[in-house]
Amino acid sequence: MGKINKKGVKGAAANFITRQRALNKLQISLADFRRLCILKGIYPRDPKNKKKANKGSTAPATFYYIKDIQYLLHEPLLQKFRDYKAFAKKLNRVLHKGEYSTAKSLEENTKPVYNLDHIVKERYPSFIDALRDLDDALSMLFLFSKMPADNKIKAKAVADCQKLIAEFQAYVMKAKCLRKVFFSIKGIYYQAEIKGQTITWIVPYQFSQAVPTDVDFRVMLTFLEFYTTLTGFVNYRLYNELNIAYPPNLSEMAGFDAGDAMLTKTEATAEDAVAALDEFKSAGGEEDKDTVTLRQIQDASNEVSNLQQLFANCVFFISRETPRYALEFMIRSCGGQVSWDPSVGENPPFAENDERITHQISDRPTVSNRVLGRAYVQPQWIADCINARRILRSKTYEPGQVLPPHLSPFVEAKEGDYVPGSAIDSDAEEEEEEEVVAEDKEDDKEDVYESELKAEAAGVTFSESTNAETKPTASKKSTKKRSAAEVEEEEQKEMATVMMTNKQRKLYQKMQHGKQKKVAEVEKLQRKKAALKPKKK
Amino acid sequence: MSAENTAKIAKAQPSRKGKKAWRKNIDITGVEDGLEVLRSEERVRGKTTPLEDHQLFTIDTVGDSKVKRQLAKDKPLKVDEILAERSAVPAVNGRALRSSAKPASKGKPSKYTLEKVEKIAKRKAEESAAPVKKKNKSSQTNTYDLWADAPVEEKNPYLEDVRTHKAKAPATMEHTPKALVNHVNVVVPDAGASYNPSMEEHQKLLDKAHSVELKKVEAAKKLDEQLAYRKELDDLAHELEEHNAHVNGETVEDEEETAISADATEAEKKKQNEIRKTRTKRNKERKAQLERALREKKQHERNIRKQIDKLEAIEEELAQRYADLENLSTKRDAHREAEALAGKKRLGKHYVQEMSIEVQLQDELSETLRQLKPEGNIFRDRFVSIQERNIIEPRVPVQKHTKYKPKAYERRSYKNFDAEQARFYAKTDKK
Repeated sequence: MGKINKKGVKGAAANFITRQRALNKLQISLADFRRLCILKGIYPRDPKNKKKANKGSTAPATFYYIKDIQYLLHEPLLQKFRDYKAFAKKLNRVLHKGEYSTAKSLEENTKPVYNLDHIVKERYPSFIDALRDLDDALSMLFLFSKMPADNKIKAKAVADCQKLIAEFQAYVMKAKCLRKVFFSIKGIYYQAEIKGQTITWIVPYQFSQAVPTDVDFRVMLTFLEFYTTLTGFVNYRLYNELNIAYPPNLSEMAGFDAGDAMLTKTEATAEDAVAALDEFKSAGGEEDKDTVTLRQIQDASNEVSNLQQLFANCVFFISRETPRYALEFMIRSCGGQVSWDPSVGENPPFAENDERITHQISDRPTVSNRVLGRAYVQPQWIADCINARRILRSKTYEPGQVLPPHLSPFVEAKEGDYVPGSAIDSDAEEEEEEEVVAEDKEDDKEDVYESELKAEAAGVTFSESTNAETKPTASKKSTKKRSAAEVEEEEQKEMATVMMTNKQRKLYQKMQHGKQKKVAEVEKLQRKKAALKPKKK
Repeated sequence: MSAENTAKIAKAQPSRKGKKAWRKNIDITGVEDGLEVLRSEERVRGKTTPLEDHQLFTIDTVGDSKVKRQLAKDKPLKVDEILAERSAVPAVNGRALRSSAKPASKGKPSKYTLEKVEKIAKRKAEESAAPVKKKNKSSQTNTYDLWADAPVEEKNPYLEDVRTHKAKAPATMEHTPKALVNHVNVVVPDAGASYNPSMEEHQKLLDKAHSVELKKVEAAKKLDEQLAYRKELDDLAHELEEHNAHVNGETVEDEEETAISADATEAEKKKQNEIRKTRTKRNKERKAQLERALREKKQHERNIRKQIDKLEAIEEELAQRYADLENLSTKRDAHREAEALAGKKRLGKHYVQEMSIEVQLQDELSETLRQLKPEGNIFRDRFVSIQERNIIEPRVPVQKHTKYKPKAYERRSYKNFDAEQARFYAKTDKK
């Protein structure tokens, strides 16, 4: 007989601890324990064998790692929570007695204060780690920035939220790192690229948010506390990289005027260099399989720099009924100048009747007093321009018109996907296209007539000829385009198919079948579109 | 008996008959002591007259010490004594009365008021000059770079033992839950969730939402079906009744018993006859059996031959079956993988809330951004996202429940409500 093993010493029983036992060990209340776990990043676990972990009981319980709880014992915040509990007892006592002046002095002088710097440093040892969690933080901050202060939500917390999001938005506008915008039914989704990390966050529409009853507010407030600290540090670091003093003096939450004044020439060049570097890195990261061609990198970086200067020559005026908080942010992140009605915000840079204004964003059914030389567009135009990375035809976005669909920029068109191009035509290219189309139409018609004559002579029926037409033309085009490299690729593929087992071959065939179906669909849609175009004209 | 008693009594009391016995059994210690006392006195004083009373006894005027101590205990406290002292002189009133106070100069403020005013003025001057800086409870922490390289401190080997070392994080802190790794922090919405979606995407999303709802409805229907009362139970009840009646019918009716038993015996006899088979019968049976076996064998062979023709079809069927099984197994594996990636559905007592698909119906779609009515709640979205990533255990709000149901009573006076009201209004109307 080997060594006698005692029960509960090794394995699941020794690695996991239930919540109640953890509370007994730490000697704090459940609410404080929850807060501590959220702040420290200690997550509830799921052991494989719950019965062993819970000493034979299968009652539902929450488990944590014992080592995590033991680590919590060394946390200085624990002592702060206990101190706060003692202070709260004293304060309560004094308040119930009616000694309000004593209570005030107690609160001012003896209230224990803690900060979460060390926790942020522990959880995010490097700046890039912090950027990875920034999206969650931003969404939470934006959510709470418009809450009314009440018993649970302190006014100071809300003010901090507003300050931090204003600072972050100012940074994005300076660094011009906004990449995608999406108006969804839930809120506005933004995607920005900072130091190679894509950060996606959601901003609610500015209607009063109904707070649902099944959401635990204390949990949300704990997260908010942590994320406030995190975002503060991230902002500091971001501003440092732009060589701007932190905290910046933003005249008003959405004004950002003073921020402009802070940026000097040298800083501007530094920021550009930084931005260029970012682009390079991110472009390099996008290529995964094939070799990164210089051309591709150049194209990507060109695209992004285009986006950054998209509205460089445009001057916008935002009407009162449009969401200024969103539109101003989007326009200025792409290099545009924007102003608004004085009733909406303070210090508009220029008035409505300024001559420089090239575009006016309005959301009304009709526009009275149209000014010549201004393009009147709906807010979706800006979002679509940013997503398409070029300036689109503004005629389709006139107020009162039925807008083209607002497509999600997060859906990346894979190879062979049909890209609806109804709005992709930009103003400049429109005229060229018309000419080209006119020419093509003529050529096509002659060709078609010739081929039809030939088919008749050969005795082929009309339907057969039309089917045959599309296929050989397609194949002809494909043969023309085949280069040596592609031929080699195909040969390799054929070799590979021979080596496959039956099972693999069948799978491969299924895949190919699916692909072909997709390609056929896309072609069909494109043909339809082509058919529609001459009709339109 | 009497003799024994007397013997007992005799034993208890020894005899005093005779001088010797008498001297042995009496106790004269008392007498002897007294005589000894007298003799000792005689020795001291000599043979004189006895002493007088006043020479033998004294009257105690000093008193017992115990009693003295007790009396001392009952003494009142010194404090009380002092307080009880009341002097003849009356005390002065704390408050200074106007009548008693005499201002140094009439019309001008008194010295006291002047002092007070000076004090207040001084205080005010101090306050305005240097505003007392309130302790900054917000603890401005965001004024330094958290990720800047910390300055390297020289390690003094002599002080290492004394310094408090920071606790090292255990390896389990690095284990992030699978759900946290596999889920994105902010989930990108469907293309159909745009405020102005394209037709296909919107339809796709609607279909998705529809399938979810359909599943729910089906599950509810199934449950209802299982819980509903079945008609078969009625029939069953009917059947049971009949069966019982049948059975009861046989046992209760005694008249038929004898007849039945008679029939039974006859049947038995018949059976016995049948059991004795004849040789012919046996042979016949054997032949029939052989024939049957042969027939079956032939049939079997025929079937196999038929199957050979159908070989291709059978192979196809088999291939199809294998393909189906493979499909199922791959689906199962994929499903299991997806589940493992999705994270735990249940942590603790409650299940993770599921995000409902937010989509606007065809008529709810707005034409412009201004007319958009937002759908879905971001609070819930964030909270459910946190639960899905297994950062916190799912929480259900604790409903306050009272141990008793509140009872409603009507006061007696309420019964007279209408009458009172009528009276009241009558009064006001009259006015």
